[in-house]
Amino acid sequence: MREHETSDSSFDWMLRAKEQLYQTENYVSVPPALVITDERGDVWTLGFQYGPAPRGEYAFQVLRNGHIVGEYASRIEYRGGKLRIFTDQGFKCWTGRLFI
Amino acid sequence: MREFSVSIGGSTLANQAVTLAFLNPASAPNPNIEILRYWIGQSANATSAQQRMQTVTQVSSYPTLAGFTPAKLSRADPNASVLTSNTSGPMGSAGINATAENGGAKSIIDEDVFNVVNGGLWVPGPDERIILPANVSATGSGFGLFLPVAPGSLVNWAWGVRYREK
Repeated sequence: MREHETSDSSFDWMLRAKEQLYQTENYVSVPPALVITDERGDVWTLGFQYGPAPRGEYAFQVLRNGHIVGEYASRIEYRGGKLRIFTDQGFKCWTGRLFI
Repeated sequence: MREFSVSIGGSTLANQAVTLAFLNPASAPNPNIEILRYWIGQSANATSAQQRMQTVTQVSSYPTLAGFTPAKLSRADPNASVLTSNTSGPMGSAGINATAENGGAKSIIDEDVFNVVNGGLWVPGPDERIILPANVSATGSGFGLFLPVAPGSLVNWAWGVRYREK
């Protein structure tokens, strides 16, 4: 696992907007999208630090509003208003507090 | 591990096709450039719209750019990138946000489309990374992150390319 100088810093596009202007449509995934904005206005994306990955893929830290949530995933998906990530342990769904 | 980032935010684009980032490897025997990821996003508006994007290579008549010094990602790396800031894209240089494309032919590596409200992110799988060899020709061959058509809104764009020298 490598530490990058900017791995825990925040870019503007990672952060929660001051005003909820937009909610991502269903069936959007990161990647190829850069961010997902959920119904709470939280912005989800993949960070820069590598971690445990599903076979044949790279996984990166999952960021919520630019903050690390403690999970590594190769993609983030928004399906039917539910957010889930694909990790080395399979899919995990966001409960509003944690991934299970 | 020598890794670097060319990244900018809050930028205003020219109202035309624009090379967002341009990396031209140095002449051999300098390191090759391995592209680790690139991304494009904007924070100006929340109106859904599709935007074309391309990755390209180019061997002549490079764009006129804003020079950019790649940022070092490894704290312990004593060396700067072999790519240095330059506004005209020669071998061994990096630049961003072209103001003129100057007519050089571009060879497309990948073409894609993203929704401007979601942005675009390319993260290759282990076998999909793009490697730009150190240049052996006189003029070099550069890599560009390119918008082939101007976006509807030109302000508050952010993008970046991360690469490894190896």
